[in-house]
This record gives sequence, C-alpha cells and structure tokens, in this order.
Amino acid sequence: MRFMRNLLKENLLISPFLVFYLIHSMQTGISVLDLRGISKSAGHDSWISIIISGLSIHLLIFILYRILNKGQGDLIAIHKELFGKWVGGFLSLLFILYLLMLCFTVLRSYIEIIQLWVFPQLTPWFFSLVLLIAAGYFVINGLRVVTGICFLSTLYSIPILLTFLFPLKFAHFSNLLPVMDHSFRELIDSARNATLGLSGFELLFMYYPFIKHPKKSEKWAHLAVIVTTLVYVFIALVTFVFYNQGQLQEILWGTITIWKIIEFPFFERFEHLGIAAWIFIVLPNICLTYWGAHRGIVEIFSFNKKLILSVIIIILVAASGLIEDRTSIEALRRFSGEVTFFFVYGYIPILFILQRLILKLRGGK
Amino acid sequence: MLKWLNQSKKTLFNKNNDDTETEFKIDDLIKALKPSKDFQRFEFKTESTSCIISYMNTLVNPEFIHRDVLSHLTENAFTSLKEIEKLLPIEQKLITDDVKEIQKKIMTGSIMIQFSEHDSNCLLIPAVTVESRQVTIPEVEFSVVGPKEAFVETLDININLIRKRLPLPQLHLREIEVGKISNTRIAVLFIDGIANQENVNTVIQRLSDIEYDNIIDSSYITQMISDNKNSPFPQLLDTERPDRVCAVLTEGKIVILVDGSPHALYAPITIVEFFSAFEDYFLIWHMASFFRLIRLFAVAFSVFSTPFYIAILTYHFEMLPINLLATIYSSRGNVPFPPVLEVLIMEFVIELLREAGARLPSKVGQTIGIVGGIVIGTASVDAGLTSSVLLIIVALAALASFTTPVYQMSNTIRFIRFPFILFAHLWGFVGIAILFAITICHLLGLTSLGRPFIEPIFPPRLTDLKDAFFRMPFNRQAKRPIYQRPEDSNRANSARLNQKHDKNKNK
Repeated sequence: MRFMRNLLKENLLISPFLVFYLIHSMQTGISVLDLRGISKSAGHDSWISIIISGLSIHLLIFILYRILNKGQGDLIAIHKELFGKWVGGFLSLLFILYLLMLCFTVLRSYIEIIQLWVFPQLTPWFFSLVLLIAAGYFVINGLRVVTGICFLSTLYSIPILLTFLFPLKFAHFSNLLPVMDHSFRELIDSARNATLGLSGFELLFMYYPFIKHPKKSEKWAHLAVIVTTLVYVFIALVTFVFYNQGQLQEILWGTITIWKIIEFPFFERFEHLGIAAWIFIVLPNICLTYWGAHRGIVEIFSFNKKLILSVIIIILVAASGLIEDRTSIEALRRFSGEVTFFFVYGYIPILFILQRLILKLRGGK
Repeated sequence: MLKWLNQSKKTLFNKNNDDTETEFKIDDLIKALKPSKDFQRFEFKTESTSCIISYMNTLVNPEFIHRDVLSHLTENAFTSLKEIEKLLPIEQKLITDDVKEIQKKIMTGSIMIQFSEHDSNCLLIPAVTVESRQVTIPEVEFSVVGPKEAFVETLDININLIRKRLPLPQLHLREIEVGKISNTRIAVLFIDGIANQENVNTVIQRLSDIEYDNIIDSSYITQMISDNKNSPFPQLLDTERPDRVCAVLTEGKIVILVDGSPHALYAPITIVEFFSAFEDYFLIWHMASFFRLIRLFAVAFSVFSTPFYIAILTYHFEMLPINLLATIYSSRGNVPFPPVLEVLIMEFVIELLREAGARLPSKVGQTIGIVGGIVIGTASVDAGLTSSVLLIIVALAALASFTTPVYQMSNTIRFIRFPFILFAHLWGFVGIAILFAITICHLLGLTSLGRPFIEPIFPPRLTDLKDAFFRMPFNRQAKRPIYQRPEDSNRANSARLNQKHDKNKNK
C-alpha cells in the first residue's frame, strides 16, 4: 500500500509542521463570524461548548491518524483497499461530494456577506467565477502553494484578531455570569452546532500522503486544534460581552457588526476593510476543499487535470447562481453542518472500526 | 523566417555542428572575408623567404604587429611555421589547420600567417586590441559610502574586478559561448565548496540550452533562463557593483557575467533581496533595518495607494471620517470624472513623464521635470481635471516606486499597480483582495533556480529572516542563507564570533 508515497516526488512534499497551518486555517472560516447557531441553546455559556467540541476533535484526530498510519495513503486508497474498487469508489465519490459541498457553503456564505454589507447588487455567479478561478490557480499549482496560502492566511489573521480587542472598551463582563447556567444537554447541543466551525481537519484524509514524515505531524495537528479552539473561545467571549443574548439572536453576522465601532482619525467603518481581508481567511477553505475534490477525482478517474478543474468551477458557479435568497443559504449552512456532524462523529469512528476488523480478518486468513 | 535564418547561417557563417556538411576550406574563409574592406591580406617578403599574413585590421593592434611580429620576421630567416613560432616572443601562439578554429581566432583579433596562398596550415598569433570604457562609479546603484567601482562592458575587466576582491583558488570560473551568430562569452562564477553543485549544474545546463542567434546583454539571459518566463517578477537579480557580487559569491550564490554587459546576474535569490540595497551592509544594523522597512513600506504604498483611493471614493466612502471627507470633497468637487478615470489619467501622465525623461538626453530631461511638475501638475488641478489630493498621492506613489534599489523590480512594481487599479474599480477592497490573493499565488509558485522565491516567508525559515526584513548585526549572521542549500553553511564560527565581543566588554 506504499504505492502512493512512492509516486510523490520529494519537492512536492510538505514539512510536518505545516500541518498546523493547514488545519488551523481550514478550521477558521465563515462560521466564526456568526455565533447565533452556537449560542442558541447554551446562551452565554456556549464558550464551554466550544471547548467541549474542541476536546472531542482531539479524540477524532487521534482516530484519524490511527486510520491513516495503518492505511498508508489517502482516503481514496484506504477505501479501495478495504471495500474494493466499486464500493470503495462509491464511498470516495461521496467524500468528494462532501468536500465540494463544504467548498460551496463557504463560497456562497462569503458572497452572502459581501451582498449584505458591501455590494447588494453583486451578481453571485460572476463573483464566484472570479474567486474560483483565483482558487483554481492555487489548486493547479499544487498542494505546496495551497499550503502557502494557508500559512499566509494564519499570518494575516493575527492583525484581524487584534481588531477584536477594540470592542472590549464597551464590554459588559457581567453578561458572562452566571457561569454554567445551562444544562449539560444544552451545552452538548451547542457543541454540536460548533462542529461546522471546528471541522476541517478531515482534509487530512487527502493531504496525509503529502506530508514528509506523516507520523511527526500529529502533534502539530493537535496544536492547531488547541489554537483554533482558543481563537473561537476568544471571539465568542468578545461577542458575548459586547452583545447580550437577546440582541445576538437578532443580528445577522454579529461579529462583523462589532467591527463597526472601530475608529481611527483617518478611517472608520472597519468592516469594509475587514470583509475584504476576510477573503484570506476564506480562501484556504475554498482552495483546500477544492484541491481535495480535484485530487480525489484525478485519482479515481484519472481524467485530464485542467478539465476536472474547469468542470468543478462550472458546477459551483452554476450552483451559486441558483441559490438566491437568504433562507436557502441558511438552509444550506444548516444542511452542511448536519452532514459534517455525521461524517466527523459517525463515519470516522465507523471507518476506524471497519478498518481494524477487515484487516484482522484478512490477516487471519 | 526561421528557415531562412538557418540557411543563411549555414552559408554565411558556417557555424554548424552538422558533420554531414561538406568540408569548409580555408579558401572559402578567405573568400568570405575578402569583400570586407578591413580585411588585410598581403605577402610579406624578406630576403630569403616570404609568407602571407592576414588579419582584420580593425581588431588588431597595428603597433603590436609592426613592433613584435614583422620586425622579428625581417631580422631572422625562417623556412617553416614552426620556426616562426620559435622566433616570436609571444605566448598563446597556435599552429592549426582547423578552419573553424582559424575563423574564430581571426574574428577575435588574431593574425594568421601562411606559407603559401592555399596552405591550410597556419600560425595564429593573438594581437587583439579591445576598446573598453574606464571603470567608473556606479550610476544605477550608487551608494554614498562603500566602494565606488562599477562593471564595464568587457568581461575580462569585470572578472578582474571580482578576482581582486576574492583571492582564492576555489573561485571557479566556467566559460560558455552562447548565441549562434554573436558567440557571446558567458562566464559562470561560483566558489567551489560553498555554492551548491546542483545550482551550478542548473545554471550551466540552462545556459548551454539557450537557442538564439545573438546575446547582446545580460538581460537577455535573465529572460531566457528564468524558471517562469512569463512572470513580471525577475527571478535573477542584476547588479553593477563588483562588491555586491563578491558578497553574494561568499553566500554561495552563482554569478553570471555576460561579455558586453555591464551588469552581473546572480541566483538563486528571494524576493526580499530586491528590496535590500547593498548600502544596508555599510550602515549599522538598526539603521539599515529601518531603511529597509521604509523601502518595503514604500513598495506597499506605491502599489496600493491609488487602488485604495479608487476603492474608497467609488464604493467605501462611509469609511472616511466626516472631516476628511470634507477635505477630499472640496478638492474633488469640480472634477467631472469618476475616480478611476481620474487616477488613470494621472498615472498615465506620470508614466509619460518617466518615459520621456528616460529617453531624452539629460540636458533636455530637466525641462521635462519642470514641464511635468509645474505645468501639467498644477494646471490640471486648476483646470479641474484632477484633484490635488490625488496629485499628491500619485506623485508620492511614483516617488516610492523609485526607492526600490533594483531597477528591474521597480519596473515590476509600477506595472502591477495597473491591474490593481482596475480591480479596485470593479469590486473595491474585495477586488484588491482577490487580485492580491492571485499575486500571492503567483509568487508562491515562483522559483529561482528551483529554490522558492519568497522563501523566508514561505516556506517559513526563521533563520533566514535575519537578513530579510531586518538586517541583523554581523555577529548574528554566522550562517549562510539556507534556501540555496550551501555546501558549507557556516560563514564564521558563531561561538568565536560572539566570544570576541565579550572580551571587548570585559576590558
């Protein structure tokens, strides 16, 4: 099963520590801008839910590495090894669809933000065409370049994060009290809603074979989850002390609204700049899922690379043209949250058990 | 066109490696040279014998022929070429019947001596005189302190300027001839044991693979051996300073010198080197770092200032505080154009002034400055064609683009501003961000001799940051940059480098 690794040239591989940036930048995306979903059931305590969600993801990453270390290849290769060409191929295809759905969700949500805040008249399909061509340029250049944007995105996110210190001037820290006011059930419900935000590590299934010493990268993956969880908790706390819970449920994209209060002598209304800069937070999400889907299709069908790239662009552009109104975008985000939840908490453990069982049975023969 | 070129090459220049071709004889060479007025061929008679001497009189030194060749021939008797060879007190004489070699020597300023008209054996004596410029002070990369020598158009003088600074036998020099017609001499210099052998091989391989008829300048080579030939970013750095070349040679880089070009090229490089002037190393480190940061800020300002102006005034005017908005409004009040048109006109004017200033002789050039600065600038504001705020921004942006120490890069910076202007008009800040992402993707994919182009940033290498945005003091620079994979990575023993420092302190 080592055929995958032998195919990859040394200069295509990435250093293990870059996995930190791949996972961290994939986890930070659109959902951090809208904390309504997370805080719906646990209210001001939902930062605890984020920590719970983060802890569960540590466990999942542990399982993920066990699957991949045994399989020595990406998910496509593992599927093929375990379930054969047809069933395995079908499952891989589902995974690719899942990646495309994640890509589309992020893309369409970002366009929605731009429509809401900057350009109400923006034509979604044209904008997504330009953005996807930009992303396609990254994808065709290979994983090294995609990793590059993930790294730079992490760098750019530091000053953006600092802007969330401004609202603390108007903070009502009493909003957070009393701590642990909600039942365990409510906390878990909120944690479940945090999944879409904290997911993204499952892309490891695709880029694992590209890591130079894959086993060494595990600690970086865990570190990335710790950092992302902290960032989420930080933003959540800032949002909760700035708004009270009733307000938060009424405001669309509450985190962006916070930016409005930032003022300098030479400019105000920071959200215009912030939304544009957010493209560097969104782009790793789009590029990486796009890259994963592209890589998967190339591996299963071995079509021409550029052809697949353009087909993906056409499908996503058409889809973003079709979805018009806010409610369907909400529905889309809820749907992909659900799918992500079942994939991450359902499929990954099942795959782990199945892999152990099948390999044991085969070994027994 | 190409076919014709190949054909003419075969008949006229006869520099073809084709073995099947019919033998090229010495008579054919004479026949080809004969129509040229400066080709001299005469019979030289002495009392006992005679010989035939031929040369291009525009390439040889006549004094040398009379004093050192003909005088010896008249004074002594000779019967063969071998005897002549012994008679003349000159080195690098050569007896050959290889016509290609003869042609090459004659065309680079050798004298040919034959015994009879159709004798294919001849003696070649180098008598070349090379016209060259004096070594002068650098004009493009001037520095107030530090050495003031610049390269000239002659390869040997340039090599001399380097060798005298690096007196060590490990400084290797490989010479390649490139260009089917021009046969330009190209020297590749590197320090054996420091430079990565893989990089050396890459350079030599790419140079030998060049397929073109003439190479006039080193900038031809930059374009021909770059990793990505369509990128606006140069992937080899050119410099006219021998001291800079020596500094990079000891870092383990590979230097390319082209005969006829006063610029040396070196690689592999990273993007930050384009923004470091060599003077940075002559100043104390914190000052040097400060100026380097100012230069980087100037680059960002130069590229983004006018796109930001368009973006803010077209789409995001809410961003301006009310007082600033009033200032801009009063200045823009009677301008009839949308911001993008206003900016394009002004950028076009600045580019015109620059082009005109660069093409005109320097005495007329001063007039251009006055015309541009005073007449066009103030008059266009008075006429209401542009706002004075924009005039300041555009002028500052142009000024900022000239702070880049490497001319090739400052061209790139001025060029990439224009797509940003268009995207700013399309989608404001979001458009700028998208184009910036595309630019970053391009830079991430770029390589210089196969080494990543934006290296200390990505792939992130903390140790190489010591000489990127900041220039750390010399005692922190004990290691050579790792992106070029030097074979010997230590510049100095870091323990001893810092130890000395401590001793001084204790005194």
